[in-house]
Amino acid sequence: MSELFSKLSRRHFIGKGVAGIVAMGAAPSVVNAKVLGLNGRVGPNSQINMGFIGLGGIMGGHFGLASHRSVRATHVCDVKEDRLHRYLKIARTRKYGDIVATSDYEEVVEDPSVDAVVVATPDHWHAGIAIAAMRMGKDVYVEKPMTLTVEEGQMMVEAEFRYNSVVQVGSQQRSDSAFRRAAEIVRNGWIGEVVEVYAQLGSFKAPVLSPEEPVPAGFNYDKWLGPAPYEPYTSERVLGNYGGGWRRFWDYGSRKNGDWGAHHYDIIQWALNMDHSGPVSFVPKGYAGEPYAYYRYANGVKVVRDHSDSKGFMIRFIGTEGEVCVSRGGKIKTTPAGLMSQPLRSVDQRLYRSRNHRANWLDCIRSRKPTICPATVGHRTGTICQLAGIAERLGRPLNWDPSAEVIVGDEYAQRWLKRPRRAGYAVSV
Amino acid sequence: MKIHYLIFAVCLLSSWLKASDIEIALTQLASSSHKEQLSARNALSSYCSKLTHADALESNLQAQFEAKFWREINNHSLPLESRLYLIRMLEWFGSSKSSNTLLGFINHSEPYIADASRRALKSIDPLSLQNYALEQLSSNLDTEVKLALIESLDAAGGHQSLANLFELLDSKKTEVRVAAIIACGRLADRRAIEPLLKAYETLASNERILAEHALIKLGLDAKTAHFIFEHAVAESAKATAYNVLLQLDPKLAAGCLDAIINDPNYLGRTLLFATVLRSNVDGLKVRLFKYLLDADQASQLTIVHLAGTLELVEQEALLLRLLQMSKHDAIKHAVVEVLGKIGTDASYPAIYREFLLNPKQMIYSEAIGELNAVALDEQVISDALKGTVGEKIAAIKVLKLRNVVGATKILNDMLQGVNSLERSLAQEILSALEVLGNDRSIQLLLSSICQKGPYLKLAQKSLYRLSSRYGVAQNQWNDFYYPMLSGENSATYQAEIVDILSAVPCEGSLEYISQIFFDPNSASKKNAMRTMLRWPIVPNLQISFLWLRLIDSGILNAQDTTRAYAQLEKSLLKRHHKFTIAQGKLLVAIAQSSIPLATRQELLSVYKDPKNHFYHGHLRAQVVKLLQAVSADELLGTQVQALIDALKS
Repeated sequence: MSELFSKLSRRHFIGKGVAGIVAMGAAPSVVNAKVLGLNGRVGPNSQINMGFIGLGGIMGGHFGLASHRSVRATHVCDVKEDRLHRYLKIARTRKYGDIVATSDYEEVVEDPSVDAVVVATPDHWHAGIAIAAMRMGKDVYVEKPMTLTVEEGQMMVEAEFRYNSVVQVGSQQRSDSAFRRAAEIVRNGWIGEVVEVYAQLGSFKAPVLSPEEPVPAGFNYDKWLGPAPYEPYTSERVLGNYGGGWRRFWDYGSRKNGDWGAHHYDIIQWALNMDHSGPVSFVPKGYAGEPYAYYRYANGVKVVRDHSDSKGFMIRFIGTEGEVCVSRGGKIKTTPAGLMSQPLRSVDQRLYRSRNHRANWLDCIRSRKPTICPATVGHRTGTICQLAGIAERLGRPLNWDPSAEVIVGDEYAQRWLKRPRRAGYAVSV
Repeated sequence: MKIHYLIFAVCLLSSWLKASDIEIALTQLASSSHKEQLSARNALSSYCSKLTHADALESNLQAQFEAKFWREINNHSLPLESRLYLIRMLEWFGSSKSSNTLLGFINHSEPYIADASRRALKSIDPLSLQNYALEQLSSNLDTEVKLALIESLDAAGGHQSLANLFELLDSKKTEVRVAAIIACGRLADRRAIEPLLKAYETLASNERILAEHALIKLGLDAKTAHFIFEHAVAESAKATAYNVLLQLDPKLAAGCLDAIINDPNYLGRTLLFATVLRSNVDGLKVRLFKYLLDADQASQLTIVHLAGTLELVEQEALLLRLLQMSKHDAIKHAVVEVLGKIGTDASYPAIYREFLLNPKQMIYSEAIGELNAVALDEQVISDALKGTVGEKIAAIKVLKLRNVVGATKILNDMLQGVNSLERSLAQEILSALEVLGNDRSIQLLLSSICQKGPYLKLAQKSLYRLSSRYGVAQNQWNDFYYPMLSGENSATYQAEIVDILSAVPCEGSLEYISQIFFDPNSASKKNAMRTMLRWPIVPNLQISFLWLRLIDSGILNAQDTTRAYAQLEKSLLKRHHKFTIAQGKLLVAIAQSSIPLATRQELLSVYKDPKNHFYHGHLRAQVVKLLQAVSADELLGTQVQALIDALKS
């Protein structure tokens, strides 16, 4: 058993000074873009000072933002010290300048010189860090799924509005032209009324319990667990690989629902024009002999997970007059085939156009217009991921009221919309 | 009847939830085998889920299980994580009847048990926890416990006394003070306003931000809103307070707006502008828009984007003036983007002017496409159908950008009617069809080529580009190209179409080309060769295998053979993992072919660093496997083996 409630408390509130565990190089003397006479916000031509929190595999791509001419990396943050060293080395190689490395995200979000943060931690930490950053006036890029629970999603939406933060949720398929094309085809009714949609999520192996292992030196495991329930340390539990690790555990994510589901369900919401609403029922696989898990919208559209007839595509929209199948890598196929390249007419709906998800965030930080995937959108997609997960865990169908955001007629399932957090990890908008 | 039905349901449930099975699962929780522990967890989770089935609730089964769980949570021989798991089951599936028992655990000597119990109680009976917490806050608790209790305060309303919490706003411990401020906001009890305002003066800057937002959560009257607007450290709090002021005291808000406009460094200025535009106070919106033309760049961007987000159609004229006046590209782009959404016919000339200056800037072309310009569309159609050649050309340029309903049909009709003297018009029509064209356009262009009219070459080029852009090569081949080429008089125009077959690269078209080469009487061989040289090299390398077949068969002349070798080498050198398997197969086919040995040897040695070329480990192994089929070749075996060794090294 590791030490309990260390007096070096994990609790860290605003105003309480803290030193970085690893402070490599002198702290950069950086002036926040917002104080350069730009009326409290990053100006159109000013440099954006950015902190990077959660230095796992996903951050590899995001860290490239620091190469952008208008971005200045100020902090890297992770609870694993070896990762801090690795990123400092990368930063040195790429000549990013002096960067503070710390294991305390609070140090990043409380630094007034920081304008924006990228949050790429495991899912159970997304909301806590993102909200803390927004409260301190930062703009946020947060990995998908935006939150672990529906309650956290509601708080993110509130924070985005209240603090006027520019939030980009990492559902980058929205910035992929093939997915936008597919969504525009569906939105404009070119395949008629949508009847069914198939989304390929794949599956993870079941979570495992292993004998407790000693926590490696330089790893703040208690902080890694954060708001999640206490479990003894095992290396498998904190592993960040795509085939297993923390992604297999319900305590830190929604398994495949929150993994690929957060991408594909997001596109489905977009295509069906449901970004501010959601499905009304969820049925888990195996319930009453159902071969597939699915959810349904009020208009009858059924979204089926891992249907065997996906035609090799990640998402397949089936309409009364045609089909659109779409995958990453620009793969798109339509029936009739000509729909794929049919240009939009002046009367057709055009969807938000972003060619690069990260660049869109940077643009919006300057212009203060909403990103292609703000918290309001990320919350609705995240809600689907979470409700599908709850139905799966309970083994029974759920009825959902997307306006009131409540599970109808199942008070026990309703409890799962939030997960009480460990002491010291409360989140508040 | 109803009783019988209930008995049946209970029996059914009992069969799911056998007490003995639960006992086994609880025993397994104590096992040293983690596999057994996991199995026990899964079983308990499944049982607990069923316990919340309506019939189970009615039959009181839940209470029986909870009693067992409590027994085990107290069982110190169980591993801590198993006891915590049982509390978590109660957190999700427990009844409020358990709240007293949970209260007993809140001060448990094991902090993890205490914390888990607090969380479970918060989930199943938050009011009990709240009352308990408020009572205990005044006692001399450990700071961590006190903080945990403050964190648990969030059930809305209904508290007799909050005095203990308010006292903590003056705590000497920062973390306690901060937690109390946040809790005051969460509780949504207006009695907290006064203590918060009183404490505000003495708080540190970062704590003030929290207090400002706590006050906002509690609901602001005009006086408090003005206080926060004047003093707030957080710009978002300032803006929220200003929003309240706009609703409750617009006169005062108007005075504040003047101060904001006149001070370029006013904290939260752009956010405050956004607040005004989002409000329903029209007078202030007008005031702000009057200021737009003189504003700084950041404010202009904010106002312009908000005009778009809020779809303020009435600001079209003002935005057009800004477009004319501004010298900053960022502002121009923002204005045009917004005009695309809210603009009408009036916006068209200005945007089109900008478009002509920056034809490659997509923001302009997209805005023209999106404008709600009914009169423009009517004019364009009319000009396209009845105008002079010059008007027609101008109309087509716009038609191409806007793709009005029926545009392709108009273009296709025009193409059929165009005479041999109207080359520039024909060029414009074809260019528009390339962008907008559909199935019908492909058919029409194919027919034009077959008729060998005056614009044969123009039509050929357009069809080539349209077909390439259109995609779905196999579909185009099957539906349009092949039927045309297999027609009775195909020989007369075959060559012209074969010339552009590389725009529809698929199995069918490639097979057609190969037949041309193997047909001694075909007159399209030169065209087929030209097409093959333009053929896109796709990952399956189909074209490369045809090149090999042609060399192998000896039907190519010396010049074409040299070209074919060059193409083969080019295919082999494409460095991307998508080509890996096809390249492996091509190497084997080359080794097995009857082309001259020296050439085969040369092609098999194109890779200076084979491992670097086949960089993907898993795919590299498959290439090795493929090459093994020719590793025993009498003439090339040694060379192939060397290649395999290099790949394996």
